[in-house]
Amino acid sequence: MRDARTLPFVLQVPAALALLALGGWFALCYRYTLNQQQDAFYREHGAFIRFSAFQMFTEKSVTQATTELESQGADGAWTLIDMPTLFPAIWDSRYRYEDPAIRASPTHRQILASATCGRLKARGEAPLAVRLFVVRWRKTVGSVEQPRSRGLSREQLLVWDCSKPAPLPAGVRP
Amino acid sequence: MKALLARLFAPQWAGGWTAMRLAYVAAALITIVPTARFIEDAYGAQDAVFSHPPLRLNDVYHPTLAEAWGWWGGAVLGLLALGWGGRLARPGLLLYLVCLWVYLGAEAMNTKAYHRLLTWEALALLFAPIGERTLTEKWRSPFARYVLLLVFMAMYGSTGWLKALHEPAWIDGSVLQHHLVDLHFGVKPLGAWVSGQRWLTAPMGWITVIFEAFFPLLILFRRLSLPTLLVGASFHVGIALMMEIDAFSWVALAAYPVLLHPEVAEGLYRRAQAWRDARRPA
Repeated sequence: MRDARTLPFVLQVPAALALLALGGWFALCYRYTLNQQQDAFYREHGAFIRFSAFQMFTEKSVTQATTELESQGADGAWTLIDMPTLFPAIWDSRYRYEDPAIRASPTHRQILASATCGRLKARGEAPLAVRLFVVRWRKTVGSVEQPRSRGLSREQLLVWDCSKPAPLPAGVRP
Repeated sequence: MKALLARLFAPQWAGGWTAMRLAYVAAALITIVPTARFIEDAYGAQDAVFSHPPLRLNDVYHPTLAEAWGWWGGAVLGLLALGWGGRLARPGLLLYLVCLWVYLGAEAMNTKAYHRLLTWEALALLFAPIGERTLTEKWRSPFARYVLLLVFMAMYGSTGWLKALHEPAWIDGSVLQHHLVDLHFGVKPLGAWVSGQRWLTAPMGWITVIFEAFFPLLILFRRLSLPTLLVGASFHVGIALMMEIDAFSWVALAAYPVLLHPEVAEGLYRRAQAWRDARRPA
């Protein structure tokens, strides 16, 4: 005899309603993803919608972008920092410090800059300040090498005094 | 109404859940275990701590380095319990989910599409008969499979229709060309080579959009579910070979044994069983 069983009838109605609600939720998320730039509700309450919205690799992007930081020594000279050795965490092929969301948020930039000061000091250096740049250039299709030869731009986003405290989230225990 | 519900919730062959449970554990372990290298730098760091939507956990709690290791360990332990199955499966799944999201919340910046998909798949697993053994000989409620179908219909469908309606460059192949050489998720040697071949990227783009946009319809037909999922499997293997987002492919593929129509899945299982029995010495 076949070992077969399913939901009892009393649970079938709520189960069907739950499936309808889930489908409706996904439809709503799709609708807001479609119009996210224009929609004030999405900009205000987009966090939960983002959890359920999928728009992977939709848009064409012809530009590479990365984050660079420089530190200022006691002599006043600025030196490019080897960020991957200070912040080695990497997801897919992007280092955590390169996340565009860090560049986009003034608070996040300050936290990254302050953490960079702290990690340089822990290595025995004494930076007076660090500055943060976004570097962009055109992608080269058909090549593993991505030379910074076309459309190169370097924009300074922040100069941070290393003596200042960072605006860390409240959950960090001193 | 009663007849309609009885038909909707008629028991379906449950063997696919065993395959999905094990594939899910493997995909989640591949995704989570290697992040241990970054616990000191990111998850348990006390300096580079961000509060970033949708994960604002760090506004109320941020783990110390030891606690971050604990959350990572809890997630891995929960997955091992899920893999073991039986009575440990559901408590293991719950432990893993809680620990995973505290762990991701501590880092806050890198909650990827595959983390979200892992969570939606876990939701389906919570309602699935994962605590039972010998599911290949059992038929159970299809509710969890419907949840999983909705998740994948939404995921593929929404990204497919966004591409079809809002990015005309998917037609000429140039979107793929540029994604394949993006420093942050591309530039694998095969992907970089393919990016220079417009005659390849154009049809690959069409197939991607057609597969994603029409998946919600095609997967509903019993006869089309296997060819649809074979296209999907090629699509994900292609992504894994050409882009640095392998984890997404393994997480998505983990659900395929359940997405396949249960009657088709059972037929394949019985054929494999018969083939194995025929090869056994008498």
